[in-house]
Amino acid sequence: MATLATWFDRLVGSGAGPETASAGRRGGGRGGIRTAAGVDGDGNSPYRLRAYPNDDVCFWVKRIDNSRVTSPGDPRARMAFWRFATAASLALLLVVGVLLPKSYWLLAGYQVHSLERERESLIEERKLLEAEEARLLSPERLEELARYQELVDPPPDKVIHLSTPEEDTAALRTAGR
Amino acid sequence: MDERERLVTPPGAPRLRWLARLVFLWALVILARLVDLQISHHAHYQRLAKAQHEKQYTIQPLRGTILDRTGQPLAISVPAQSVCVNPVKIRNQEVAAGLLAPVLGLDREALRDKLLEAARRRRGFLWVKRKVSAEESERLRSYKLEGVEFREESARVYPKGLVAAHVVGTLGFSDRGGDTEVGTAGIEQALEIELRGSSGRVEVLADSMQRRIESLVSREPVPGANIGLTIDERIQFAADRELKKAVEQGLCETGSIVVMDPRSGDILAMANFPTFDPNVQARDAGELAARANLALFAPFEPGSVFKIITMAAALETTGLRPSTPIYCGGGVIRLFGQTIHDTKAHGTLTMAEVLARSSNIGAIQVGLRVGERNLLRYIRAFGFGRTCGLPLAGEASGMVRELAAWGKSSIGYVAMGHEISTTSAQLAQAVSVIANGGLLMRPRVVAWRQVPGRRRELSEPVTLRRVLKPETSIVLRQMMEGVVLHGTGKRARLAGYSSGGKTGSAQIFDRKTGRYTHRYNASFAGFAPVQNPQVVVVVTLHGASQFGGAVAAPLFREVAGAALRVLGVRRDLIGVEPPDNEPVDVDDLAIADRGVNPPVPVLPAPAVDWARPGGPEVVAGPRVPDFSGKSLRLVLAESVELGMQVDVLGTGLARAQFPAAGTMLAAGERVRVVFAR
Repeated sequence: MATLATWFDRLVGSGAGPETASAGRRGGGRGGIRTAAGVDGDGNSPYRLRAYPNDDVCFWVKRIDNSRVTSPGDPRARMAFWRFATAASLALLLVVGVLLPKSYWLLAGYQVHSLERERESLIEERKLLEAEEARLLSPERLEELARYQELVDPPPDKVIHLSTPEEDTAALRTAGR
Repeated sequence: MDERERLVTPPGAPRLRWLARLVFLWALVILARLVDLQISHHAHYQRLAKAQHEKQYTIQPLRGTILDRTGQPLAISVPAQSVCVNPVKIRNQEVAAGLLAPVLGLDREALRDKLLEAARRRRGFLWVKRKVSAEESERLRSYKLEGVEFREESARVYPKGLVAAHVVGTLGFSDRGGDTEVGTAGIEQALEIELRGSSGRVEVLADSMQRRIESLVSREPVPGANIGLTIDERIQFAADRELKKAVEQGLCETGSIVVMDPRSGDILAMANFPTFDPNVQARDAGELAARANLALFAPFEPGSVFKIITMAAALETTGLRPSTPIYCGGGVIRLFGQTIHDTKAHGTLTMAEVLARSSNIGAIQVGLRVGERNLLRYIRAFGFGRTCGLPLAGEASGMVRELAAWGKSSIGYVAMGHEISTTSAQLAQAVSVIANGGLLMRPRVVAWRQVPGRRRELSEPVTLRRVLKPETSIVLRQMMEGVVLHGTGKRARLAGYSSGGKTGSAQIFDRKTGRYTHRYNASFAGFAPVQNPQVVVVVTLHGASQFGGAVAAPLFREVAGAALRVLGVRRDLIGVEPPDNEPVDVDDLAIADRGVNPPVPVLPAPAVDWARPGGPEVVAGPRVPDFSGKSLRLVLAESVELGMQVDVLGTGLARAQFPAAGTMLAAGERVRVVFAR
């Protein structure tokens, strides 16, 4: 496989062909002498990397047009696929069908009982309030409040009874006769 | 392995096979464990799972509310908390008692001993205090004591306190054990089953955190029925107030007032003194005695107030009219060897005046004209001698003797209200006959019942029979109005309303000395307004220092006035005010001190001896034993052994008894024992 170094050798090599360059590199690799100019007497540079095995082999992508190639149908594979898909769908349905209602039931159960508890506490609260209201409206307390506010029971002659609608109707009927 | 297989087998296949084998083994182990869990020990694990997830609870029904006729709750159940402990979990009983006792108001040493004893016996549960207040509960919760738990319960609250306490009653723990309170007096006791309802059962599915997921009610609870009483709390309060005032002024020792609607027999108020707060547990025999409904439990000799029955019988069975002159013998009459004096030396009075001035001689003369048989027939027809049928435990029937047991002079004494005993409720029932036109109505205290969610069941008024002709009742009402206008009952005159009634004063007989005392059973039985009576009020004061016209009539005036105002009755007297400071002759004593050889009363009703039921005068024993502190079973066993009848009130241990230990019982007389925990 051609590496970048190989290409580099090919392009900037000192007039030698690729083979020469490769050989030079291999020679350098074997312990060529480094000079001040950086190039030994064989023309090998100490900075060059050693070549890898098959470094000079190049691969080219061969374009193949397989657009007209068709795969022959495999009924067994298709069957297997459908079988697997059906089984998976059924399993999924089963999971959803069993677990989902169960989850809903569970959550609904919690909710129902939470609401029941709330209802019970509201009923209890109402009872407490009813008892408190009754206590506040007890005649003893009302009388005490009335005394505090200097209120008294009216004497009978101070009480004016308003006639009820029934009585009015009766009076009108009598008058009409 | 042939060549072909070798070529197609991937290099890692053996390891995969080993893995598969391991997985298979693991699955086998799981399967084996499943078989063990699900099949071999199925029942055991199912039981454990059920115990953890499935629980059964009893649903306690809510006790019904007791309301007055206007819908005001007189007894209501509210949520409450009780404190219990697991003595085994408590590390230091001394410390626990030291913490709990001051907060709950308990005795520290007693609580410590209880905790130690329970821990020694390895008991896992002990009530410390039931139905604690919210404040107590909050304080204890803040301590976060290990082993102390709180249980939700319901507490019975009587928001009106003393109002109608004797009618409503109280709750207490049953002597049969158990944690449920039951009615021990009044309506709470009489209608216990209806008020309590029946418990339900629920099966609960809970998760591991004991959060409820699903519940299935296996038995529906039936809530207790709400009970609507005929009592009107405003009239009741007025009656309570006036009675208390009378006792505080020293006018009497005890007393009772019954207010009734004569048309329906509805009891609008039933007040007694002494009274009690049903929110507070009775602590001693005195407080227990205060729980006695004197209006029902305490029969007494009615005295002159009974003369209205004699007059009614005379109007119905003889030719006597209100204007018929009756010779009153100048104040003295000799009746089969007995000399009976009148309150005043009257000459000849009309029958109406006999009633108005409460002449004993006049009443005896009328009684003689009526005759024993007719008089007894009318006494029974008016409902005397048997209980009124109110749904309240312990009602006394009073005493009306059979004709065969009457002495020669009995006609005279019965005619003026002696040798007979009655309760205030019976008197109210009898006066209602006169007030409503002659019909004997069954007194009722329950107006309706309603189980929540169902229709309200109304109690219809029950007419027992016709006792008087309507015209007789009208005449009698006019005669009774005369008592208020110009007789012994002048202090019963109402402002704005006409009223009628009759006073009564019977001297109290002292068993110890065998003589009559100077204390009276002072009473007034009346109605208002006269033309169309809306209320009947009977006032009975025991141990009164004055006559009925002086102490009971003013109470009638106050209570009847308040009742008419509350009921919105239009006044029928306009511009007529009762005169102030008018001289009133209130002396209506049936058996005066000056009487020679007064009869030994059939049933004296001393103020403290309120529970004596009616019975013949024969003192035949046995002697009443001391029941205090004994259980119901012991009391019953002992009473059976001694051949005496016992009326049982409440539950628990015997705390009070009437008559007192050592008293000789009259034949047929019963002992009333009050039990409490």
